[in-house]
Amino acid sequence: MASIDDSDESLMVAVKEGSHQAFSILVRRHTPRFFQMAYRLCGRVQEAEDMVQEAFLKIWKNPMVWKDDKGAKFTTWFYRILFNQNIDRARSKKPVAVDDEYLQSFADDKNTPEMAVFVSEEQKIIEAALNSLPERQKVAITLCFYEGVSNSQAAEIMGVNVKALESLLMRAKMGLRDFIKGHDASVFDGKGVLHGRSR
Amino acid sequence: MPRFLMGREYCMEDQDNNLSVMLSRRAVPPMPRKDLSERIIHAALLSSRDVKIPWYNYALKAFSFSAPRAAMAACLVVLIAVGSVWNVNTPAPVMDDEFTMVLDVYNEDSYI
Repeated sequence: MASIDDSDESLMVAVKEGSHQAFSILVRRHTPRFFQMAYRLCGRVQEAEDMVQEAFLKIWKNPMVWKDDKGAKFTTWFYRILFNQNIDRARSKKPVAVDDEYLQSFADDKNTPEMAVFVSEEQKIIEAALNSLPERQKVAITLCFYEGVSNSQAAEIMGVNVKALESLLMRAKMGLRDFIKGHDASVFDGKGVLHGRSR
Repeated sequence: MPRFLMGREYCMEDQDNNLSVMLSRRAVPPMPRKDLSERIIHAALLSSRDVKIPWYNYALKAFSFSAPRAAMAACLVVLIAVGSVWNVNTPAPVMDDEFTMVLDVYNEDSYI
């Protein structure tokens, strides 16, 4: 009998044995976190929801892909599923161009009920800068900076070694710097002051 | 160059710190809709599951030997088994002279 106090890994063993209750506990426990990760990668509420739903259904339909004997953490493993889905998504559609239309979409999101955060001009530029990165660099930054995943875990999720991950992070930072220099230097201001710009 | 860095050394550490500050000011992602978890759970209930180990997993397990020698021996045993089954099930070939004899008998009968 699965309970809410069980660890993710033991719940996953129960899911393999067909426990829908264990699956429900996992879904309720992790949906917000995984949704936020997916949202950071794709930038759209609907797409992020679809990604999370698809990933959970994948493990429900085919739980045998979970190998509990390898000692992997459930969250690391799930991030990997999301990462692969994101790569597939990025391959199947055209890259989002950093243009007025893209920036406008953030302004539109601001008016929707689910987007209850203040989206400033500055944040739009940050989103555009992150979106200008190649997909793998963006994932590396998202995992290491926003999800707080360690470098070795992030490397495991992305299926690369730690050196390669560090290289991805380095190139991502360079790319971000270049983008900011080319667009708006004021975002770089560590004091949060937007120079020569009216809010 | 960012304005606040003008007039002082633009070192890598500064760049990293400022980049971190910039990234930390990214908008917080929204929370998912409240019913997303329930929708996923409901969709799982409606979908079919594949909890049985597929046949090829059994096959792979049967032939998963740790040492190459054991794998070779297993292949040899399988080959011998397949060969003997083939040998038993295949009818013996008809020899040329037997075939002619049958024809001769047939011809004699028809003349009579």
